[in-house]
Amino acid sequence: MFATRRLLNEIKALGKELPENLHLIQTSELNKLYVDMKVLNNPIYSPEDIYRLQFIIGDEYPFESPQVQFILSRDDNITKIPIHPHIYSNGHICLDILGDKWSPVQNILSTSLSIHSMLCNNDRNERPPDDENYISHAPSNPKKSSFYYHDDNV
Amino acid sequence: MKLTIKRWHAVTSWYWDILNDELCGICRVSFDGTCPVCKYPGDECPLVIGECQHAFHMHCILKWLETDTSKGLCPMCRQAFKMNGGSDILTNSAAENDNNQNNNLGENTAEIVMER
Amino acid sequence: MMTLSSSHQRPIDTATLLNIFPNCSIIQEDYVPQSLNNDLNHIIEFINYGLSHEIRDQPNNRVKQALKSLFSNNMGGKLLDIYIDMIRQKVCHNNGGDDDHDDHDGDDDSSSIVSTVRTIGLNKDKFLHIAKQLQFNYIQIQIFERSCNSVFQTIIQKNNYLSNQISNLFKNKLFSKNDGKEDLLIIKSTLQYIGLKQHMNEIIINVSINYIYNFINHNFGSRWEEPSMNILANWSSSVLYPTLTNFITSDEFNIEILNQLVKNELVKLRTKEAFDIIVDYPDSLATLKELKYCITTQKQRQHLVNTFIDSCNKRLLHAGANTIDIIKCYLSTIKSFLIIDPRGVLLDKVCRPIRSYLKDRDDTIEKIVHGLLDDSEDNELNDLAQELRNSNDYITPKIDDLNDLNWTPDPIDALPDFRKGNDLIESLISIFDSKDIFISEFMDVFCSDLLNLTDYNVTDALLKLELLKLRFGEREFNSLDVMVKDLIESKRIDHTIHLELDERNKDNGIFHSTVLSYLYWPNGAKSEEEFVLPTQLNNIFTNYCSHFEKLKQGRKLKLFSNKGNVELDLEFDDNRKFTFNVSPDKASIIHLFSSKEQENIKELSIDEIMNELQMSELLAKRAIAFWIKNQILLETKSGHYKILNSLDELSEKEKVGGTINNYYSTEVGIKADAEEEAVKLKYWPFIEGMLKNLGNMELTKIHSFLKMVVPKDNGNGYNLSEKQLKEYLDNEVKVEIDGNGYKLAKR
Repeated sequence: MFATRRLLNEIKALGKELPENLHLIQTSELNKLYVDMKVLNNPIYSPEDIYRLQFIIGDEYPFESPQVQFILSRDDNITKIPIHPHIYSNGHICLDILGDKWSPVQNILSTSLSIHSMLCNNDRNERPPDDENYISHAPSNPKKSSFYYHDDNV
Repeated sequence: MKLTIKRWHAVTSWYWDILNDELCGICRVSFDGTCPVCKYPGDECPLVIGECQHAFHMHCILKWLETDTSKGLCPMCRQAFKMNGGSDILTNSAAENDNNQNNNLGENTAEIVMER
Repeated sequence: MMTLSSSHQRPIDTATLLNIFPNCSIIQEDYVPQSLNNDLNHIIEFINYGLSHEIRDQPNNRVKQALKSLFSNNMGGKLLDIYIDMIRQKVCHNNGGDDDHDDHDGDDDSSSIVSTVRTIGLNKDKFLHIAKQLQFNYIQIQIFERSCNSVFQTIIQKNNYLSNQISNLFKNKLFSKNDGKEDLLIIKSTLQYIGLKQHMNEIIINVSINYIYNFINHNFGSRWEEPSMNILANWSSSVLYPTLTNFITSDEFNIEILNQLVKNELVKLRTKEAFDIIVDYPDSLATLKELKYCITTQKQRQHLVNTFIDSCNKRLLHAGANTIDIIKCYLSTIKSFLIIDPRGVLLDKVCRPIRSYLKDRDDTIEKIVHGLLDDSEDNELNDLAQELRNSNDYITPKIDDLNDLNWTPDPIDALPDFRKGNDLIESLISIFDSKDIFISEFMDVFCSDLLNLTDYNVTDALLKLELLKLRFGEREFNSLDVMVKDLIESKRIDHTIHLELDERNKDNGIFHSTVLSYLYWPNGAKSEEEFVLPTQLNNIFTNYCSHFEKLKQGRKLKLFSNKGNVELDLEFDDNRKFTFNVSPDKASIIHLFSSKEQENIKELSIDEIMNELQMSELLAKRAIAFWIKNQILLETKSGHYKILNSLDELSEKEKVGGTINNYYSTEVGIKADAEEEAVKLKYWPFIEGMLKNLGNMELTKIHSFLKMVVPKDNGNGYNLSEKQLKEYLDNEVKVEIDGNGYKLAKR
């Protein structure tokens, strides 16, 4: 109930709040949302590429963080997970606010903006150092991984 | 001419006297409304203002502070969330019992720390 | 005068026949031996003589000889053909002049019709007689008679004049009480004689149907309170049937068939009257039940539906009709058509146009909601209020479905629930796709009701709220619950504060407040126009606030300055005394005058008033006009006002003019603003009615409409110019500009 009401409030406002390069897509399930994003003005990313961030909102939202990761979609021609030293090639994101730095005043908008700016400000065209190892053992839910936050400066 | 006003029935509305914000950051509903769980605003769904001056619906902040993730921190500023003392929880009963006490929220803090 | 026997006719011989029927093989001379040809000529001569003379001679020996010779040569058939041709020739020839009769005014020329018809019969007799003299055998005679009949039938059926004459004669005489039915019997038997039994029956049935319809219309038209079937059945068996059995000779005709005819005509009449019958419901109950019993065919149903929809479109579903009347008619339609057809199939068809029309009317929901909530006697939709009151018996069907293990889904063509039963409220709610608009209308009504309360008594509101929840579902009423609870809480707060107040200061005691949780109230709860209270009044409010803040820590109060109600007494030097119940803006203005008077300032200008109270010109002027009308204030010169301390200050004319309650009259002596106000009051009901019914209207239309409808009594008709009207409408808060026109503002 809490989660649903808060989510409905957010969705209602999101249309107006999202900046131009971010786009909300609702799915048939209320608790599953996509935010498609483009990264302009960063040579690492092609301005034509669209990256899809998936939010799965749990019943305890906003007291617990949503499950957030990048995904691919053949149907919508989304073929890339953005390259970033904190983003694994399976789409999992190593970001503190998605884990133990989560706060209930965070929301879909603020989270999307944080991740988008992570990409905009990125100057390293590389995956996390343990990418290969991580993706071979990673749980499907990124929240189940206990990330070591490699480098808070990125 | 002699004017005598015998009775004046006015229409007023109440509002929480919160300076900075209109919405509770946790449920994103107006302070003057209710948290998602409550039906009636006001007495039944009071506000709490922390020492850090951040305000929330009482039910919202209590629920947050109960979680492990919160570590007792204010969702806004990540300082330890401490209620303003004395008339901290702004319920009707508390207020009515404390009618003669100082009701200035800025002072007279009693340092109640909510542990999780 | 038509006769079939003609004396100046040329005898027909074979040459003539050949001339007429060049391809007729039987009379080709090549094929007939000379002696037979002679024989034939003799016989034709005999026939010709017989046809043109009344005297019926026996054939002489020469003719008998000739007949013998012909028949022995197997020429009997040919002779028959020739005779038939001659008959046809003769009859058609004589009948060729029938057009001459068209300009006869033959309405009551019954004897001529009878003699015409009688002649036909006599001619047939003669033709048959001759045929027998010609010694045709039985079969040939039959063939001849059939041909002969068909010749006569053609005359009667192709001859409109004659047919109409016969129909008219029956129409006039069949059911008349006078005698003269012998003529009819002659016609009837002659027509039967020439094989027109069926035709005769049709004429009689048509005449009867007409007669039955007129009888029913005359005796039962526009009378719907009493059943008519018993009387009609009686009439049918004692009057109609005995008459008709003399004329209709058919095994298939019996009293049941006759009764069916009577029922059909009743249905025809009731179908024509359908719209009025339904408007008349429930007084027309008897007729509706009867209609159900009488209406039997699909065609009748279809006709009823079409006729009713037609009448609805013409008489109800147009801008001139009042919304309440449309709703009433809709409800009657539902009830009535469920009587005629309990399956609801007809109802489904007839209510569609009304539903879609109601859906598009701006004030439909408002009217329904008021109908539901107003339990006073002048509620024109009292049925709805009654039904809501009885809602306790109403069980949401869905709940039942869930618990019923034997539940099966409704068939796919199942009608909406209300069309199966009698649930009027549901029938109205379901016109609209969503219940939300109802809820918001409920909120508006509750808002205005609750804000008018000065005693915090919500018993009635609570009851209504509970009844509405039974209908619309609990969940939708969250805001209304909060609104009602605000009143209960306000009462508690007010009580507590008054216990605390320092009653030594009398001012403190007068103030009470309804405290809103503003997020939950509709916009109508908030003041349209705020202003600043006079200091003394503001102090009273501030004092109340500080107590509230103590009581409800962390919360403050905001005043909606223009809402609420002030009860005040005014006393004048000339012993005039008044008690007023006014809105705070009016109270503030008179308070301002009163306190200025104590400072010895006697006169205030409109600008000073607006400035002191931070009030809009419109609001200030309206309040001033109110006080002027009530002879409390006086306009000294344009835009300047003072307290009217004594009536002596008024001119004689003005003194006569004004009385406190004389609200709606325009008085000559009252100046500018007051006059303006009075004008508004006078035209307003017309404008309101018009906008309510028509929605958006352009200025020119309103203008010409007012010219038409405002009564011109005492020279006080509508006399604004279009420009003045525009000024008024632009300033009237109850109206808003909508595109090129005006519409009623939402409260």
